[in-house]
Amino acid sequence: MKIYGALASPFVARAILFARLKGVDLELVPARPGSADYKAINPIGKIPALETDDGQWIAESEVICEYIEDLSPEPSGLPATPIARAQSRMVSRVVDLYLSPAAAKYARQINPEKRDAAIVAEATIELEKSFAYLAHFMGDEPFAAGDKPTLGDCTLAFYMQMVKILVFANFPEIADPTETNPRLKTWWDAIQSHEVCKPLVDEYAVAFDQMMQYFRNA
Amino acid sequence: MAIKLWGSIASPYVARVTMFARLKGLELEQAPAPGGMGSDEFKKINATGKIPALEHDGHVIAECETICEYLDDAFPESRITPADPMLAAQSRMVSRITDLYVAPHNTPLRPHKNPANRDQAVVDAVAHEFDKAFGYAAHYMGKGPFAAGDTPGIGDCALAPFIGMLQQTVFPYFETIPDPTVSNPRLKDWWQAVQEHEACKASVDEYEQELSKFLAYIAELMAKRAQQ
Repeated sequence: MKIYGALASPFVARAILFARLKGVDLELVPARPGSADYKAINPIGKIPALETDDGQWIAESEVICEYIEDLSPEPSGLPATPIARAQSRMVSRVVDLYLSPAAAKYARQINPEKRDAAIVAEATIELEKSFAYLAHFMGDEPFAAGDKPTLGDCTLAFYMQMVKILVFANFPEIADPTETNPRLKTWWDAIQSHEVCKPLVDEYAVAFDQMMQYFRNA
Repeated sequence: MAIKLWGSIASPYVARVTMFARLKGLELEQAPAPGGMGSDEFKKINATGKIPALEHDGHVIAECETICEYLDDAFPESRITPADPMLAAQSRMVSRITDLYVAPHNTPLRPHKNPANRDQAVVDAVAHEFDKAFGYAAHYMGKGPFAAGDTPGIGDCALAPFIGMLQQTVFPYFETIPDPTVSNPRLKDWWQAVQEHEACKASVDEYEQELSKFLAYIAELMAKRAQQ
């Protein structure tokens, strides 16, 4: 199977990590989101998109992960019990619905001279709420739901890395929850000690940083 | 053990869960959110304050899509998600498209319902977004007539209440926003299948009734406020 996109996207990284944890082989094919060529493949225009071995297409990282899970159920990328599976999926959902829109608001506020304090204040309230939801809905420690990384971890790991680069490094007044929130600290330590998660999160950080620099220079 | 669902059926997100549960033959014990959506009282049950929330087996699960997946995992004997991974993905895609590309565009239209004080540029922009979103839904649906295959699933449960909502609140008021279940062949076939399916139709009808009651209540409230 082929995944279209770039590692600098936390959505692409989610699918790659999920597949890697399951031992499923994914070939990364570079694609430019929103380009006419890419929209011919995925009319939504967003990355990633998955091309199956029989030439069918699926979009949206969360749906792609669920597809990979259904296609190769072992080893499972979701916890065993229904409640723990829900907790793992909730973490994904909280990232997509609450953390991601809050983080996006900082993108144009990096330069302190051009910063709109009201936008930053609003974004920070939303960001902190999303962290509280995450800690609240997580299941058993240390990962999002149990003792192994699952779908929710694949979603959150890259977003947490992103907000470290985009937000905490530029806005020192905003607390990093992986230092201040005990549940999220435990979780981040587990990601950082995991032999599959950590290298990919590090690789993503480099790719995201490069993308940021490219936009700064453009 | 009882399965408790918090939230009013007038919400398309609550209706998604009630439709999914009905397809599975599960009885849900329904109750309005105590103190209302977003209240401190309800936030003690669901931290996000949003509806629906499901309480089962001593746990609270939020977010309608997660709740549906949970019900399918917790009651696998009436599994709705197709066994074929591609069909399952197509059904989930329809849910996702509903949540990410259809749902956000309803609210901005509200202040523009009256043609006398309408900003046509806003309406045109929303019309374009709806056109794209329904195009995505038709594109990613599997073989029909339902969202993926010949039985309804999670994607149908997500999209059908939204179509019901837009048929009440948008399409009759904005002539430049066509009802895709009339104008798009794939969505026309899909909607017909939903209407001909007993459990789907019952859920959509129930949702539409609750929604129109809710809208009438809001209209009454606005009229009273205008008099004061």
